Amino acid sequence: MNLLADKKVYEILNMDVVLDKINPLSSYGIREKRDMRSYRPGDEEALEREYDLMDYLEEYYTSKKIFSVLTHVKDISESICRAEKGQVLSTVELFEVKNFSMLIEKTSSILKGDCPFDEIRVKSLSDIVKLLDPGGEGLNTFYIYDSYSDKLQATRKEKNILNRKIKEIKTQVKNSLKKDYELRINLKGDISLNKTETELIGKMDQDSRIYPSSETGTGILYSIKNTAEIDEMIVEINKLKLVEEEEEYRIMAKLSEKIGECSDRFYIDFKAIGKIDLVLAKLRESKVTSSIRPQIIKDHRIIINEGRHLKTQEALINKNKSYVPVSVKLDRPATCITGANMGGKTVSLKMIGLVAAAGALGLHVPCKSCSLGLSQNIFISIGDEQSVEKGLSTFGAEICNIKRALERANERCLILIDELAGGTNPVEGYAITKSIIGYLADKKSISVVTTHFDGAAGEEVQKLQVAGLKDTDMEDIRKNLTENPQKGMDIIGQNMDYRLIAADSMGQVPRDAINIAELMGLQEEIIDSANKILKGSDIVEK
Amino acid sequence: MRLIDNLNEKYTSVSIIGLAKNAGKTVTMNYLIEEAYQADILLGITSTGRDGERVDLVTDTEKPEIFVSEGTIIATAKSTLEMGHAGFEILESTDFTSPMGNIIICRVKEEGCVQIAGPANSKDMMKVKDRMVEHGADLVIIDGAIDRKAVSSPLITDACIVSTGAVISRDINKVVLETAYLVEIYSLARVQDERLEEIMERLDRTCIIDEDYNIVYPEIKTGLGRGKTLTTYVDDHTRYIYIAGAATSSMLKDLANGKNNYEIVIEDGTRIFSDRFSWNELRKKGLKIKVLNNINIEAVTVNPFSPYGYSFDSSELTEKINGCLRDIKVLDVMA
Repeated sequence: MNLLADKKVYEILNMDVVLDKINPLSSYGIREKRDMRSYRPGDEEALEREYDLMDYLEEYYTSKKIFSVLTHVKDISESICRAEKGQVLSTVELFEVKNFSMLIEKTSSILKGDCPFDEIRVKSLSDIVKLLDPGGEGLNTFYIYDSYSDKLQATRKEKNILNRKIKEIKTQVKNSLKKDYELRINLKGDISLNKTETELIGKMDQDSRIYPSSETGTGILYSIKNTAEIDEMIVEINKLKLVEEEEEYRIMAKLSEKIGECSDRFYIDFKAIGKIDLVLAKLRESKVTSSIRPQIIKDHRIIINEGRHLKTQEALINKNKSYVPVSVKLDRPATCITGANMGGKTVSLKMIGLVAAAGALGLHVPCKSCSLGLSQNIFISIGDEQSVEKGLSTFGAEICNIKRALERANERCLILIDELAGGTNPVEGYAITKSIIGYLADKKSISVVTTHFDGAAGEEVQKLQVAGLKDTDMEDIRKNLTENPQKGMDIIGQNMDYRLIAADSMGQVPRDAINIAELMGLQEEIIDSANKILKGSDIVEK
Repeated sequence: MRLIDNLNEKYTSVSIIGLAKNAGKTVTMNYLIEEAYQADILLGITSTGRDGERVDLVTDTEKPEIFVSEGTIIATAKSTLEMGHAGFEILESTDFTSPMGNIIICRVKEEGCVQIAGPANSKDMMKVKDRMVEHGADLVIIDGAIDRKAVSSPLITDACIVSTGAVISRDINKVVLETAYLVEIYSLARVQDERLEEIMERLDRTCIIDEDYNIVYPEIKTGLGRGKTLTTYVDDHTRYIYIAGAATSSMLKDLANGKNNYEIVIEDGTRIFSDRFSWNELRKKGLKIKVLNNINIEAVTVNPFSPYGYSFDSSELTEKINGCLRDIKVLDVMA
């Protein structure tokens, strides 16, 4: 798969939740999924076409007929490759080619005739169907049919006549033996005796119709002796069998050759079936996640209306909780998001990345509506990421990552940075944050930075904050908490408004951290003291 | 009435299992094929293992081939088709895999000897069995095996035929008793209790079920001494003890020692790991044991010849076994 960014970035964004839901039914579709490409700036038209194709096939996404084709279609690419090289296909392979060709014919009868998309238009293989169904029976079984050659038909007929004659003679002998000895004789014409039956054995040894054909420690097996006539016929049958086998091989070679000549059409059909399969799989994913087709725009802007981060949403639904979609408008180079802990900043950041990455792959996006300008690359830095193998600390790994992003800040990328310098001392952290945001503010990339540091963003930067704890009665929450102390996190979650709103005044430090700490039962004297300190710092700043 | 008519009238699938290697399973198979041919019954044939080789791969003894007549439907691994002599019409190339290639369903166009290697797991076997019926087979015969890991064919077919023979022992009485013992444990009665069936899903590990169908899962470390631990959970109100996995004779002994107000329930008869003597002792002590899935044994076939060079009188062996297994038809397929 041709991705926009490192695999690692896709992992952080939880793109796997989306990609795992795209399950093509055929091996051709699985191959197409593996070869899926990301669309970059300049590819807008191609991406629109991809979405048009999805719209076009939408009416088929519940079609049982297409579903049946895709689940039954076998990977015959190896056989076609062998036929192309002039090798002879086995009967099982010819059977599979016949079935594939029949399914292709079925596909073209299901899809509308005037399909405007070349990539899903299958090339007819009706000639191959005819080739492998010479009697026009329409059955999906296969045999080297008599009708392939007069010689084959004649040989088989002759062989059958001889076989029948032998059977007749043997049946006569069998019946006479049965009458004489009152014994059971098996299908092959064998009689097995226990060696203790000496009297019978003695008689049988004298009998010219049979001979002892094999012997074990205790048993003896008599078979019907062939008459000279039978022996002659067997020699003849063996000759005929040889002729039959040679003729069958010749026919198989001929069929394989003809199939090999049409290999181009087969390869086109493999692609077409794979494409149809993948698009339908994408549509199923889209329905499951209630995703929509984004509006693709040429400029580098991303406007998300009620976007969802699918993994978080799934986790919440599993716990019977609802997910609050987040809207955000990124039409300036840099955006800064502030807000308390537990306010869902990281999830919102990941959601933005997920929407951009999914859109770039030609997937529907989990939003109510979305305008998407394509990016060259996506960078994401999540504060708590460590690079153990490189021996870097959290801060080291973070800086390393950000450095790579900044190097390409002028290449129309999407740069997502969570809790910039959150792990270092606040004075230096603030300085670094402010200068990085300043650097990104006039670049060609879209950058979104979340931070605790207030006032780190300059005039040209869009400033957003998490709406935070709702204007609910704090007393209510507190009461609820004292009654259900173990549900602390849930209660705060229920009362948290995760939406992003414009941060109005520069001086506003979000107070939710102290509120939450209080609600979660941090010692009262600490809360009091913190509030005093906070008041003091306000005074100092002013 | 011929055995095949009887089978065809009552069932759509039958498996054949051998109580020992060389007990005459393939002979039984050929016997049924022949009867079917004469009765004009269209057979579907497959096997759980590789079959139809001239020499048995395990014990290196001579093994009869499977001779199939025209029209028979077989399900076998792709690579065996290139080895057989008979001509085939390919009906279906399935996605079920086996170590010898995916399973192909075909119709025999020219009678002859074939090798058959069918699906390697029960789920696939079930589906292949159904597919053969859909392709027109009147009766599907599975050359099967009682196996705890792979395909335990008797559990997925309507009925089962057990092959036994002289190979089990040089002592005719031992052959009879051993056969009777194995038939008894394989055909243990199914537990008939609707309320137990309702909670079947929860029987995923060993547990104790009381009169009110409350389930207690005892904490037991697997291995020896399980039985003793289990008895500590048993009281007057215990109705069932469900044992997941193997039920060994030592374990059953511990459970048979205590009060007998409860029944022991196991998955199926193949879960019992015991010998004939311990089993009989347990029975005397009043052990009550039932299964969730029972094996329906329709007939026992007897092979009086042993590949190791000795044999018994066929009618004597048949009669003796018949005497022990009253409700089951016993027949000598070699005679």
